[in-house]
Amino acid sequence: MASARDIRRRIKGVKSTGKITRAMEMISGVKVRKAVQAVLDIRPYAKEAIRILGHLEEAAKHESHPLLLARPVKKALYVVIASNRGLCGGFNAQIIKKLRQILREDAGREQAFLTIGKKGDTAVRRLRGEILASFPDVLAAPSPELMRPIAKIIIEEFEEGRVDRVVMVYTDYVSALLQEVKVRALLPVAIKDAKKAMHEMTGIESESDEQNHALSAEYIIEPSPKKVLWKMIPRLLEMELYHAVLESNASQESARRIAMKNATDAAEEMVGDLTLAYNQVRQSKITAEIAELSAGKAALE
Amino acid sequence: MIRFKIVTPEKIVFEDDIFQATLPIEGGEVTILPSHAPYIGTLQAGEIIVKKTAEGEGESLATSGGFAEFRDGILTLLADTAERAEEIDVTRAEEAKARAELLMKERVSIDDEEYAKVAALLDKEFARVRVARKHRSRGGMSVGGQ
Repeated sequence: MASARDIRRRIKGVKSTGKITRAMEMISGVKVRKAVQAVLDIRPYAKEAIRILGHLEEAAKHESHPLLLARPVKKALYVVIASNRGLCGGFNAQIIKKLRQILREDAGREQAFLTIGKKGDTAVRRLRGEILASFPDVLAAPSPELMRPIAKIIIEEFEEGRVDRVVMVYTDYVSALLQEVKVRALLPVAIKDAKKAMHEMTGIESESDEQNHALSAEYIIEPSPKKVLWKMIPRLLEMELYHAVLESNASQESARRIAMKNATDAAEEMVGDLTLAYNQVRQSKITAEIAELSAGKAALE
Repeated sequence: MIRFKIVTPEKIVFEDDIFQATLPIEGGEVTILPSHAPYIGTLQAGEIIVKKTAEGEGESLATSGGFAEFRDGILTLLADTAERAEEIDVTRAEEAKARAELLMKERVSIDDEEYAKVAALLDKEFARVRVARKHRSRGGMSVGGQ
């Protein structure tokens, strides 16, 4: 049996670990709230964007844009949104599992990757994937502006024909207990899908298309419907990326909070067990000492 | 009156009833009055001037670009960024401007993409400084000795 001093040392160690995990649990709780709030803050923008997009789409109906055109897929680009740090339960493992699954389905096509989050980097490297770009720094404090270079790379690769399809893999924050890995096509842009994505951000239904149709005719659109639409498409991509990063961050922190809560609970339980063991050792030592003492006394008499 | 709203992906920056608004659009400016026809346009970096009454003094905001829509007395700006004059920290804005200018001077041989990025940054910062300075000078304070 371990000595009393050893056990005491372990109790101390487990207790301080428990303190750290509890602190991490609370920090993650705050971060979840922040990310969820940021998701809610996009709503007014997304709502207006859907409306304007509806009018533009109607007005620019017969124009086509290189980013709207689907073509045979020789090479696909996967945007993988994971986390920078571990200790967040199965968060990264889930994404990587999903990624492997789609890669298997898309086997036979060339594949490239763009990663957001260091854990995604490592996973893709292990899959021997070609990483075009890595953006670990946008996760700490995401903003729409930080998404611009990412959107730019994606658009460039697509426009110059190096990739024929861009897909994003991220974790959607459904609730504190449920996070779901989602796969969403980014390019080519289907206006319909983009609107659907915006609806998901706002959580509301749009005005009917007929209503849009009637109104669109009246608009003065400068410089031209086509040009405004073309300027808007990269913005939509940025918004989708921003939204996905926020959802992913909320999921990540939520997963971390639960992992840390489990760790804290386990630490508490362990401290209880160890304290019991410590008391037993201490008691048996005392009993032994008393036995020795009384034995000694008996020998003297 | 016009119901005027500026939204950015991060928040609603401005929401009020106004008389008119002058917007920096591609290739110039447009002033929206209550009877303006339905309108959609693209904003560029610059100054938005809002008047609450016909005679009233204008309030300025700085934007770095976005989209504008007007319909049925409702003017909506989807701005990438927008800051009210009183929110802009002049020192910070001036510093950022100096930085952007330095970048322009230093990198003579930067590629077009980089250049465009810096130019956009410079545009944005100029717009911010302009708006902030105007706001301050009206408040009776001088800014950076100018």
